[in-house]
Order: sequence, then structure tokens, then C-alpha cells
Amino acid sequence: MKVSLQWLKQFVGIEVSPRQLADDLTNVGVVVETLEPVGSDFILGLDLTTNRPDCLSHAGVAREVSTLYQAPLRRPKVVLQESRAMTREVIAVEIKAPQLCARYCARVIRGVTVAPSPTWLKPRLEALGVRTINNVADVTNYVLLELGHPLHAFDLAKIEGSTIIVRESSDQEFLLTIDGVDRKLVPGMLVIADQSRPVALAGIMGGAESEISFSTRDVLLESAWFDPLSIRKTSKSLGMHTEASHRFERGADVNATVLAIDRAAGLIRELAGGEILQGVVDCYPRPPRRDPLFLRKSRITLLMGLEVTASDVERILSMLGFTILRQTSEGWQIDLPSSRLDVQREVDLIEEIARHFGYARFPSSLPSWRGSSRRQPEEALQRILRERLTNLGYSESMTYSFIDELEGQRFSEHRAVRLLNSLSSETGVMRVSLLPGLLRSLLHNYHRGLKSAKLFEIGKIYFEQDGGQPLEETHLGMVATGNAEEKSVHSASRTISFFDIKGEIERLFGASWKRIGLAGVPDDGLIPKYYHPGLSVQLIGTVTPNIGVFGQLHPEICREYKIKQPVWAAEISLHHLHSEYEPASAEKIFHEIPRFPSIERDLSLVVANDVTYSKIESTITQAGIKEIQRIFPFDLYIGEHLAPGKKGISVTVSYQASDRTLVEDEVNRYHETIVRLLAEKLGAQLRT
Amino acid sequence: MLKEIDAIKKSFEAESKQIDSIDQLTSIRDKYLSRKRGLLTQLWKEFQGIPAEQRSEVGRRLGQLKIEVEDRLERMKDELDRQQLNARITSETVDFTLPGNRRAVGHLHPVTQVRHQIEDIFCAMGYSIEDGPEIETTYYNFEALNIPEHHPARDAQDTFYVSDSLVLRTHTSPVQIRTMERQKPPLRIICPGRCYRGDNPDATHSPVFHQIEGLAVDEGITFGDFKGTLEYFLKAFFSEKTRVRFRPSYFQFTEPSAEVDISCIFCSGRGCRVCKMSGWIEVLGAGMVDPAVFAYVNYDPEKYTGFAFGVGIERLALIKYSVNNIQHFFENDLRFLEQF
Repeated sequence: MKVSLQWLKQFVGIEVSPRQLADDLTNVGVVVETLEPVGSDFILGLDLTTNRPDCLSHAGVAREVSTLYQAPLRRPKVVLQESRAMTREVIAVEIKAPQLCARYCARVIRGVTVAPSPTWLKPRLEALGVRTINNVADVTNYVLLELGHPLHAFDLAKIEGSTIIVRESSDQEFLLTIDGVDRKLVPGMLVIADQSRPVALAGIMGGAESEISFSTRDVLLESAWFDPLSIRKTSKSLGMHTEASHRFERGADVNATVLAIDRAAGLIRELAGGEILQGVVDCYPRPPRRDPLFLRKSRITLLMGLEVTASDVERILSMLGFTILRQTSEGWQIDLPSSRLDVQREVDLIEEIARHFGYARFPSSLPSWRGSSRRQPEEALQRILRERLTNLGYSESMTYSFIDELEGQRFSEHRAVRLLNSLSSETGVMRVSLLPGLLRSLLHNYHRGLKSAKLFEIGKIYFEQDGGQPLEETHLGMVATGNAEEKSVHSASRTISFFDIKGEIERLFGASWKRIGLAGVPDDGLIPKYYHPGLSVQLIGTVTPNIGVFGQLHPEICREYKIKQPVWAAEISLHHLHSEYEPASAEKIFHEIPRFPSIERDLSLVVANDVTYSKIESTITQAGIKEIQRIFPFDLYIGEHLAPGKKGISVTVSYQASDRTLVEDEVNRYHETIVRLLAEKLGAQLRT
Repeated sequence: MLKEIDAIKKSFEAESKQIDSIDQLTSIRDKYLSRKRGLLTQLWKEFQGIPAEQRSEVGRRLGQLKIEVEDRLERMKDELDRQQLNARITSETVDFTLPGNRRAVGHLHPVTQVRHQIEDIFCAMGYSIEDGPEIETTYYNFEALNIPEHHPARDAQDTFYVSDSLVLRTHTSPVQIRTMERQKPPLRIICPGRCYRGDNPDATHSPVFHQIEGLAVDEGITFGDFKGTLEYFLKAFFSEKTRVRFRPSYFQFTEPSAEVDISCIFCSGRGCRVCKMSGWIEVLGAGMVDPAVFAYVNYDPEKYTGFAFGVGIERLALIKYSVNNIQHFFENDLRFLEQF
């Protein structure tokens, strides 16, 4: 809404600078977004909230200004010279849909000369962004800007019969509107019709056939009140948004109809001549009733934290157009103006008082607190993971929650949640995996010369489930490519290996890692197809079998994304990780630090290639020697010095007792037991 | 005998002055103290044969000389060791201007950093963190927040639809309702999370963004408490010098409602390009909880009052870090992420 300062001053005399006025209006909720000088005038660009249709006019804004500065508000002047001929003898109004049209006023001006508007009017409309058409149409627009009530002017000669009918459209009705579009009406839309056909879309736009033209002699003026919801539905379904519909769908003033039609009729006669027929045909079948409200003094204090004086309350409300019917020691009985449909409850009145009293004048305080505070345990885990991930060199990325459906299918067999009105097919479904977004982010960096990158994202994935709302699960996704360490002059660079990723996952899982099992190549079908089958594993928990997966992405995927180097990835369900993490955290309990020294023994073994390290470790554990404190491998050898099909592996076993210093003999005995067991169970031989 | 002792002493003093290496020191030590042929060792052997009356004097002198020699050699060895160490240290240097062995460290996304800061400020004031679904029913996203169907307020938020009754939530406000349905007052919560609006991406719009919703409900919470809480938060987040302005506004789920501005952090409120010369930057929308919302969750609006606010995390991050384009937050360019 644009407002001319000069025009505004016709309604309220003020002596403040335009800048000051703009600031003051903004502070009472009528936001002035722009302030532009135009000639000797200033144009204020208002950004109004949807609850304030009353400010969609100069007279309406003037009321706010008058309250702001306690300056008297002037009424618009109406000069009306009526002829003897009666309006009602020329036109009748019949409202067939009274639930959608509360009031319909009509006037007739006969014998006008339609011509371009005079020079005082044109620039005034144009400065406010309204295109001028002819003196009659311009008057309706002028009154709209002045008083806020939408009017429509018909060429009376084009109306068949002598009755205006306000009704719902029926099947197979069409209307060529003045924007030149022939519209097929949906039954139930509110229309203005003559005896044979619709002549206007009520409250939205008139028909082209009955439009005022330079040959129009007699003008039929309409000033009505239409149901906001009906106007909104029709304008939305037809994709039409007009100055009139904008106001009607927010709620026009049912009591402004007569003033507006009189003001317009007077102006038309002034500009286009002719005679104004006597009287308004005012069809007002059921004037809406609004009950007065009671405003409690105590409620103002309770809600705002400050007692506003009675004189302030009364001054603000009465200047804003509310009528104080009665005052008691408890408060006020207040009558609501029809221009303020947004004010319906006591709390709405309190807001009116608060905004003109000044939000700044209510003293700030902090509320006392008698509850507790807690953080979601999942949230705490996410914070820990984020910290560990950054320590491991991963940077956090955030990607859109929607992806391309086909791309998603490469990474998940879940049924994706489809958007009915997506921005594009590339963002057509909710993501079923974090990998597409992460890979695109990796690619973004790769294309910019960053060939080594590690990224993670913690976020939701979404999928349809049979019956019920879609499922949302929080996941951690990681991608890494390039070098394991930053390039350095001090050591040779090395690309990321499987064991780099495995080590990172171990660090990430922390105390819960010991609860996790791994499943790889031999266990068919567990690794998703988009991973390299030999370099990827599944993470298996004790509470839920499928916590996640990590490994190298299938080279086929890299080829599709045009990345010419291996890409490593991990996907972990945080919900499932949390189920392992919680018990692992609960197990945290202090163990006495050992006071006696430990003894280490190395074993260099030769075993068959298919004997995994974990078999060696579990075989040693099976010996049941409680003094074994730690087992770890330190050398792996595959090569010519060994028989084909064999590999060498060296393991350190560390022994410690909590109650004594171990003696050599004892440890040697343990060592022999282990060697024997390894030979029996795994055919392991000691390397010489 | 005494003469010999004096001669050996003299020759030792002269020779020991010449020592300037460990090797020399060792050979001199051998010459005088060697168990077999050492000059002093020889004297001790001779000492066994001298007359008894001379013994005490000779023995004393001989013992003194031995101690002198040992002491001197010991001190010289220390000195030589020190010299040797110093020589080694002087030759051991590095070009300290070369970069260190860096362990690559990753960076948290600025949106996460801002979210953590906001969470920490509110958690310290007794707020709990709540979560809710992103694919939300129209009931929780609109109706229960007092936004009926066909209300113009729905236009302001271009909504992504999944079905007639399911949308991608346009704000985190639905979590308010879900929490109030579960819990009775007193209540202090913040709800961080992703929100969606059908805006085509540009410098100031993103179809995906993050919001933190806040809600406090109790007996006797006032507009003053609402102002005080948000002032505390904004000063803690930006700086103590930040001034905060509350302007009347309109939201369906609060009444009275307010837009909250901070004094422009770029020009300290004097007026600049960023704040469009107004001196103020809009940061969040808020207000006292509308009694209609309490009605939806069966709270007695006569007994309880409260306030609610919604703040855009990207918006705060844009302001705090002077980021000029919201798209940076979703491109994940490492050269961007590594700045935070």
C-alpha cells in the first residue's frame, strides 16, 4: 500500500518530518518500508500485516496517525446534489446468496460525459501506482485509495433488465472479464448478474461487456460487502488478485458502503457531469451483530506487566474508533467498529492499547523459574559425534532435504516421500539417503581443485511406510576422498585406505565400539550394491543388527559422478547407534589402575591366508587366561619367503595381574598354552 | 719420595692444562691413575716400602695428590661434556618457518555453531530442547496455531505439500503444540530444526532453512518477561552493546505480537546500506501466546500466560558472520566452511 503524505494531511493535520512519521508509524505496527519524495509530496510504502485491511486507505492510515499524535481526524467531505428521479425506479437489487453478500448498495448517475481525468487527479493516482483510465473508472479507484472501500462502475445500458442479482454462479457460465480473459466459472462462485448472465465476478473484477467506455452515458455504481472466504476461494482458484479482492478477502467495512458510494457519485458528477438519481438502493438483509467486549483492567496488568492508566486506555481506544459504552471499577464495556474485524477478543484490545502506549514503555524483566531443564540424550550424542568428526578432519555440510528421485534410488530401496509441488524434478522427493547430497558437495569441491576432502552431514532421511505418516530417521553420512593426511614436506603423502576409515569409525563409536560386530564379503547380500563389495563392511550392533555400513563406494558410482579417484563413505543410523551408546555409557565405572608391571610376549605366526586376525584373537581369548590384558597385531607379511597360500602375522600379548608381579615361568607357561592352542585350532606355526 | 710426589704433581698440573678433548683426558687419567701403570699407582706401591716414621707425612701428601688429580679430571670431564653438548646443540637446527605436521581438523557448519550458541544461552535459563517431525500434518502446522484454512496468513508461507493433510513444516512452531499436548505448565522449551518454504533459491531465500522456536508458559508470565528474555538472548548472542527494539506486528499464534529488531551491528545504528539506513535489523518474530492456541492444547488461558518466538538460524548467521548470500550455507564449499 502506497500513501501520499499530502493526501494524508487532508485527513489529519500534523507537523512532523516525513522521516519521523515513518519511524513513528513503524513503531505502532504500520510498517513504513520506503519513503520517497515525489515533487513536493512524499510517498510512503507500507508493508501491512494481513489483519489490518483498515489501513489500506488514506483515511484508515490517518486514524493511526491521529491516535499517534493525538491530532483530530477530519472526515472526507461528500458533496452530493441529487436529482428528483429516484434510483430505485431505475434499478433494483436482489441478493440471492445472503450468506456471501451481506450488503449491496447501488446508485445511478445519468448523462455523464466519459473523458480522461482532469490534471489534478491523474498525477495523484499515478504517484500511487494506479493507471488512469477515464474519469469514471478513476473516481472508483480514487475512492478506493481514499476510503478503502472497493467500488465498481457498470455501463447501465449494458445491463439487461432492471435488477442486479447477487448469486452463485451455476454450471456452464462464462464471463469475459475486463482483463480480456474469457473465464469459465465454477459453480458456487459469487457473481453479479443481470437478468440473463453474470456481469461481474463479485469483489474481484467486472465484466468487459458492461465496462465503462467513452460512449457510456449512464453509470451504475456498486458498493457492497462480500464474504472474505468466498472472495478468497474464487480469486485463488482463478489466480486473480486485484485491489478489490485484496481488501474484501481481508475484510472490508460493511458500514463504509454508503459513504463510499456517495463520495464516488459526488466526484463523478463533479468530473463527468450528469445527474445523481435520488437515494441509495441499499439491500442489507441481515446487518451483522457484534457484541460489545468487556476489557478488564486487571487483565492488562497481568498480561503486560505494567498498569496502564485509565486515561491512556480510554484515549487510545476512542481515538482508534472504539466506543466506550460503560466504565466500571473493573474495566470498560467497549463497542467494536465494523472497520476493525480483526479485533474480536479482550486480548486484541490489549494489543491495540499496547502498541499505541508504546512497546518500549513496558519495563523488561526475567520470569522466575520453578521447572527443570533437560537435554535430549540423542542431542547430546550428536554433539559428541560432531566434535569427534571435526577432530578426525571432517567438515560439516548441510544439503537440501529433497533430491532427485532416480538419484535416490541408486542409494536406497526405501519408497521416497514425493512432494506434490516441488520446485523441480531435481528436488522432487525427500531424501532417502544422505549420500546424494554429500556426493554433490564433494563434487562441488572436487571441481574447484580440492581433490582431498572429508565431509559429513547429520540429518534426517525420510521414507514412506505402509499406513501412517512417513518415517523420519536421523543419520550420519560421511564421505572422504584423496589423501589421508594433509600434504607435507616432512613425510610422503598417502591416499586414504580402508583402515583409515575403519579407525575413524572406531574413534567415532568410542566406548560403544566393543559392542559392534562387523560383517563383510563372505556374508552375501549385506553390503548395499553401491559399495565396493570387497572393501566395505556392515556394522552390527547388539541391540539392532543394522547400525550402518562403511567402505569404498563402488567404482561405478564414482564413474557416474565423474570422480576419478576412490571415494570412501559411511552411513550410520544415529537412532541405532544411540541404542548401543547408552548402555556403553552406563557401563562406565572406575577400575583400579594396575599396580603391578605387565609383561609382553611376541608371537610370529604363519597361518593360511583365510585365517583372519579376529580368529587368532578369539583363539587366544579362548585359552581363558585372565592375566591376558591386551592382544594386538604389529606385523603382517605376505610374500616370497612363505609357502603359497600362507601369510605371516605377528601378535603381541600383554600379561598383567592385578594382585601380584608376574614371574617369567608363569608367563612362559601361558605362552606355551597359547602356541599349542593356535596350532591345534588354526594350524598356526611359529615363524623361525 | 716427597720429591717424587712434588714432581708428579708439577707434571700433572702442566699436562692437565693441555687437555682439550675427552681422548686426551682419558690418556692422562691412564697415565696417572691406571691400576697397573699409573704413576700414582706406582707411588702407592713404593709407599709400602718406606720407613714407618716417614709414612704419615708421605701418606698424607700422596692421598692429597690423588684427590687433587681425581677432582681436577672429574671437573675437566664435566667441562668437556658440556662443551661437546653445546657443540652438538649449535649444529642441531631446523627451519622453523616450515609448516608443522598438521593433523587436518574439520569445521562445524556455521548454522550448527549458531544453533549451539542459541541452545546454550537458553538451556542456561532453564529451557529444554524439544524435537518434532519435519513432515507435519496441516493440523499442527496451521490449524492448532490458529491459522485456519483459506486464511491469507497461509499465503505468506508457500508450503510444500506431501498430501492434502501433510506438509513440510513451514516453521518449527508445531513442536510447541506437540509439547504442550504432552506436558503441563510450567514449560520452557526451544525447538531447533529444519523448515521448508517454496521459495526459489536466491541470495536471501532458501527452500530449506533452520529455525529455533522458543516457548515459555507459566502463571504470571508478562510482556515484560518476554522483552527481558529476548533482550538477554540477543545481547548474549551478538554483544552487550546491542540495543533491541520491539515493534507491533501480527502472527496468528501470538497476541500481542512483535517483530524484534537489533541495532545494526555494522553501523551501530547510525544507518548504512545493510540496514537500509534505518539503523535497525529485523531478527525475529514473537509475541505473547494467543489464548486461541492455549485452547487447542487445553491450557486455561485465564490461569496461564506465556510467550513464543521463532528465529531463523541462517538469518542470525548471515548477520553475525557478514555472509552475503544464503546459498553459501548449502553449497558446502570447503573454502567457506573452513572460515568458521
